[in-house]
Amino acid sequence: MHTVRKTDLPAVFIYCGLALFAALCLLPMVLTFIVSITDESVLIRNGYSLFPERFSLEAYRTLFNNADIIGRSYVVSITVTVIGTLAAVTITTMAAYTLANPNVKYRGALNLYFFITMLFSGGLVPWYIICKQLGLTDNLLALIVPSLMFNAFNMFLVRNFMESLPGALRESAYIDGANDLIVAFRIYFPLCVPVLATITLFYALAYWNDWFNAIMLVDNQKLYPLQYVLFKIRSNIEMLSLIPNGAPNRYTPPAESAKMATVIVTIGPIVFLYPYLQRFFIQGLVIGSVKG
Amino acid sequence: MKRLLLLLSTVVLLLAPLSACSRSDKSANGASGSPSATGSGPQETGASSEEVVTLKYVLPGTQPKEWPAVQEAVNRKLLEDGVNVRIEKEYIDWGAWEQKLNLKLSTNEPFDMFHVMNDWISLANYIGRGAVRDISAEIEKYGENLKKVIPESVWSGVTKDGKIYAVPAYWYEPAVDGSYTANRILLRQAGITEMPKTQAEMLDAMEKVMATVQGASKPYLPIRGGLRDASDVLHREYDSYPFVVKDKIAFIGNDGIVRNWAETEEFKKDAAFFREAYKRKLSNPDILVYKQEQLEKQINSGNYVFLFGTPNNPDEMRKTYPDMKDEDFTLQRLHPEKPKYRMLNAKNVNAVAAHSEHPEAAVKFLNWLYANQENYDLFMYGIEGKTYNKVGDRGVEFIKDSDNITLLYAQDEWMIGNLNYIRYSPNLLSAQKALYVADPDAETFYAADFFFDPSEVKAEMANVQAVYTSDIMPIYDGVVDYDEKIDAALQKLRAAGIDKVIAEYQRQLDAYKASKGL
Repeated sequence: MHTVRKTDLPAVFIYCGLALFAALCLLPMVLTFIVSITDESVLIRNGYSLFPERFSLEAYRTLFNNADIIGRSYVVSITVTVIGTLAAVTITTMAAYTLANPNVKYRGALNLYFFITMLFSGGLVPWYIICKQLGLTDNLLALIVPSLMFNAFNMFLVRNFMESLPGALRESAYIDGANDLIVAFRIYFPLCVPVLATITLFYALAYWNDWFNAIMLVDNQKLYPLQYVLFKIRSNIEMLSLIPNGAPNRYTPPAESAKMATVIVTIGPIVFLYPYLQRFFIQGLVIGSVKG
Repeated sequence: MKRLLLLLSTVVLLLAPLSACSRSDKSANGASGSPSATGSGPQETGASSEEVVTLKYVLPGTQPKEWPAVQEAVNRKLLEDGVNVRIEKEYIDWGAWEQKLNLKLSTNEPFDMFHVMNDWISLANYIGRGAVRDISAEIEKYGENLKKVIPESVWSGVTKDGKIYAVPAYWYEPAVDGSYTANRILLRQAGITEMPKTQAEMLDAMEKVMATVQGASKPYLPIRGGLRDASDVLHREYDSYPFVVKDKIAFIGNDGIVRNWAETEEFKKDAAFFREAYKRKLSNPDILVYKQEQLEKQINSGNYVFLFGTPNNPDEMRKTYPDMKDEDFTLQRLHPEKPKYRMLNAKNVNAVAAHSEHPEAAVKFLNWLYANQENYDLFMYGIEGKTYNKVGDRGVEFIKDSDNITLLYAQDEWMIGNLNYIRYSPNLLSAQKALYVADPDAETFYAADFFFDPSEVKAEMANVQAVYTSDIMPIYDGVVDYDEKIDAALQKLRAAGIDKVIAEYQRQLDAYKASKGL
């Protein structure tokens, strides 16, 4: 009994601390949700509150009155995220596999080439010109390809992971007559699942949260992703301070609750990615901890 | 040998993207002409013998839902009227306006006309960069109506060294700027019938009203946009009037000397006014963190004793004051005996991009727009019965989308409107209509057309503005004491490079005066 009590006390503290921290992390989310279902007049009178006097679903009703906009951007966001992530992960892993292979000639130079992109960037103007010249305007590809153009950091993450795998795997596969495609897809990639899960999450989040490509390259309203719809609400409100005084104001900002409702709606499916990918992370931590 | 090869291949790899850049750059230049030319193709058959050119107008904002339908109607009318110009609008989101416009200008993307907000990035800046075109000849040839509906005093704001670089949007009378709105409903409640003529009277009146107001939402003095707008109204009190404060940092006196605004006696007096208001609980205690939207809501609801500038939408105000009458909100000035001045001309203008292939198209289009009420209505308000309804002579009622918030179509007047044709909400108050009436008695301040080009002192300007926001604003708004804080704040301003900015201001103002023969 005594020993149990002794070990329990710190654990209780740790659990309490962690619970508190988790609650603090959740608080903004909860508040956002509560505000989104708060009655607008109460909101104006009392400001944000976790325990509002009156609830109302008006914000969601207004939002879904315009369901075509939200619905369409949902479709755009999901399409872009799924296709973009798959493509980006495939390209990244294949590049990593190549660079992790000690038999590749000029591997050092190639590594350096990729590494440089992490240090310097060409800047906005060349980026814009290239995108325009590639025809990446006003189409779904404009939302996918610019971010596909490779994140070297992710590539190095995968490369390092692959380098830690025993080279003998490759050698023995070669001896059994496998070519590089088979080695990569049948042997290396399945072993890299933890790191692939990590970069999948990175890419998926990047695609889901991206609005910059939309701003710069897409004018067609039918192709606006969700985050851009949110961004627009914000930038339109900022605009109010820029238009001259006395100008007939043709823009009414959405109600406070409507803004929060939009935030809640945009969080959508991406939150489910975390728990799904989490088991791979844990697996990744365990891998290699016990040498057999 | 192997090493050399390695080095060589690295260099080649490094240079590859660069060469890709330059290649695409060239092709961008080469291709720039074609889209407008091809865009006009299908229309040629329906038009007269002259080629129809597409005018691409780039402006900030969000494309209204019904613009495609309106565009079709506008283009049909343009063809019928024999203008041979097709209009195409490209809306750039507010959040990306500056960045994307600059990209378009620097990559020579094909477009013709764009909007310039002089108080944000001045026309002078674009002229300095060579991004806009001199359109004097085109205006002379095709701009007959433009000269009619835009007065000479406003044109001088877009003229540099005798060349016209843009067409100003003359949608309101700038002389209105020095006035304030008085809420006579609240004033009456407190037994005040005489409108204040001095700053002191203003404060006293507010205090009396505050004492009679019940409830939580007090009619605090709303200060729109911080320093920028507060100034004009109060400045009429000072002996040095007229003078103007530009970019919130530079004081331009009637004597032609530019001073650091925070260092002037006038700043001190303004700050004393707001300090007094703050101490007597007449301005919002949370003034520094008060959000723009909250302020807009207060102004919309009409819940104020005095408002610097004109009131907003009367429909919203009626929610607060159901029995409100036109004479309950009036436009006043401190020291009404002093002359009225236009302090800022041509704040919003439309310029033609330097690489535009059809500079005459922009002028032809604007000339058509300002030719008659019918054309103006079509482009500004859309299709009657579908996007708006006429109400009486000058009234307009917009038709809203299903969310009951968004308008189906409207072109913002402040970008391209004209007060000869402007329509407004039918129940607009007289206090607001004053905006749309030319004031023959008003005088134009000599520096009303002067816009500072900050490109020479960009870094200093950004630093100075940051210090203004963090240190000067609280002093000006009366939240902290002037005597206690001003020395430290001025010190910081100097460290941020205010002297260099003011010197550059002076240089540009002198050049401006010389060019105008002042």
